[in-house]
Amino acid sequence: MHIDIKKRKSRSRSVIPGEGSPGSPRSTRSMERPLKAGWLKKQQRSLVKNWQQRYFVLRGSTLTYHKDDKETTVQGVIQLRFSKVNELPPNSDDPGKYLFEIIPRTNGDRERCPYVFMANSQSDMEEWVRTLRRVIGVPTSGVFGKSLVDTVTYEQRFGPHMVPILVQKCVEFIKEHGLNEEGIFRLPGQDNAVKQFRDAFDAGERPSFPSDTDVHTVASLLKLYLRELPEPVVPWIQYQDFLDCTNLLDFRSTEGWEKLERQIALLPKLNYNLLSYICRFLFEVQLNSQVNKMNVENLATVMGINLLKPQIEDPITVMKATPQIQKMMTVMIRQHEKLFPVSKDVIPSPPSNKSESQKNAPRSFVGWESAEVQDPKEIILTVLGKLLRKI
Amino acid sequence: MPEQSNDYRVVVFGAGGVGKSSLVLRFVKGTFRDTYIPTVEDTYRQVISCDKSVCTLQITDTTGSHQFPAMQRLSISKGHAFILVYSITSKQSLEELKPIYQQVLAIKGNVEAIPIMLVGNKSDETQREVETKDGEAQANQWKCAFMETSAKTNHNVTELFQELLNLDKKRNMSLNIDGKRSGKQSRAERLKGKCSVM
Repeated sequence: MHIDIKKRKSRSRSVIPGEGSPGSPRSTRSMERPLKAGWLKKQQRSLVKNWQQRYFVLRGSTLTYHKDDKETTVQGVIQLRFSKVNELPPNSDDPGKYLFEIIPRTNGDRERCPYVFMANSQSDMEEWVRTLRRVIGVPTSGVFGKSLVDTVTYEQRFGPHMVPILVQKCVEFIKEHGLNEEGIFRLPGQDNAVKQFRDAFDAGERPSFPSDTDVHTVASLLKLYLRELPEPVVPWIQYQDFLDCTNLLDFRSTEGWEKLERQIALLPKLNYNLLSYICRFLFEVQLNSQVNKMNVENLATVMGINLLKPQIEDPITVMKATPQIQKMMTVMIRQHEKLFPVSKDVIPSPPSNKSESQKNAPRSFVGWESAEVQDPKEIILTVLGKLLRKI
Repeated sequence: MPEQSNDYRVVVFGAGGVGKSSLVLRFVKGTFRDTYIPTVEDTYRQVISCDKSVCTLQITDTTGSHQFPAMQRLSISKGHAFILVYSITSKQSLEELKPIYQQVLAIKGNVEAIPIMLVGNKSDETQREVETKDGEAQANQWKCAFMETSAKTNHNVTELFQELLNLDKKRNMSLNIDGKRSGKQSRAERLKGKCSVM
């Protein structure tokens, strides 16, 4: 949780580059606040390969390093544009070294020699690599860990999509190859293959899965994407309300249904689209449960927690909520035709969109942050939607 | 809920569908059902003898998907002994145990004094992907014990739990209470969804 908050802070910084934090005097060293800064060991690039402890500061696409964290003298500058960042595999003879490299852009036909760095821990290393890659790559191409609105908005340039392209590709692949697969969404995929696909999507590639790809790998990738959304498909502000519906659904009265339908109507459009898309797809999966053994309840158990989860993932809270999450998910899959009718499948329409983003504004700080980014983009989206309908 | 200090907590880990619940249910209830239901987390308790007295053996059956890292960490930090299950029909399921073992190692620091059993389940199956010697080699590398079991045919299941208890050198534990008959008296209590008792 703690790390999450830190990440979000750094992400929010990268959204507004060049802005000093309120209350603290703007640094005289630079106009721009760093995207990331910290200590790393850098290997000397001369004949002697010693390790030197340096303080690294990332601003824009420039990485500078210094002897101390006051950034008094710049000891070196690495331009990241057109360079490459790689994790280096751990060496079994010499464990406990978390290495990565930056290969600078090639000058003509001369290969440039890489910079090699050592981080303090695996997670520190991974965070540097991710941050650096984010800077180097097309800024908006990442998919995993990005907000739903950012991804869908960005992907409008590839044509209209109800859901992120990754979700669509996973679902289409599983529909074609995985509906008869025993334990689909329950059994794990190949971990390294999942990571490779994740990195490819994050790097802005939108690869199609080769037909011999293990379906469990694709299913794991889809679950991973949903799990890594900065805010789950059911937003935190509605999480408890959704769960509260499950108790009412026990009775034969219509109260629970009405409440659930109200909650679903309150979902931001893109979240509604994704939830609808997934419930409809899972319904299709369970039609084959004689073969794949994944009936509605089983799918609800393994998928529910990826779509509906509390903001604080405290084990006891999660345990207590699990039966309700499973039940809610069961209802949404089984009753998808009623709760998510095909007639409501629309790319965000102007009026509902506007009022919704206003309604969602005073949320948790993360929601607020994405709401802030949301507005101008949603306008573009709306205009796009209108244009598309005219055509 | 107050934590019972004389509980002996065993945690069962492994990928989805390897038969964790089947092993636990075979041991606790003596039954096997050919159903297909993924587990989120269940806890079972039964009385065993420990150092000439009785204590409660608490078995936590965990989920196969690594969706709850916080829960996994909690189970490890509270657990006294661990059963790491893979299916002999799936090489991938053995792979999936590696990060779990690393996590146990990271949280417990030193695993030498901690009873850990690597278990290749579904030994009755003919479509084998993991040879017995591969399981043994992995166990050697991890310096833990190894066994192949079948919850379906009840092969090595009681042995697995007794052997795990034997691995604990700090306590003297037995599934039989003071030499009395075992079996029916091991009335198991099923606590569903109450991980706070751990």
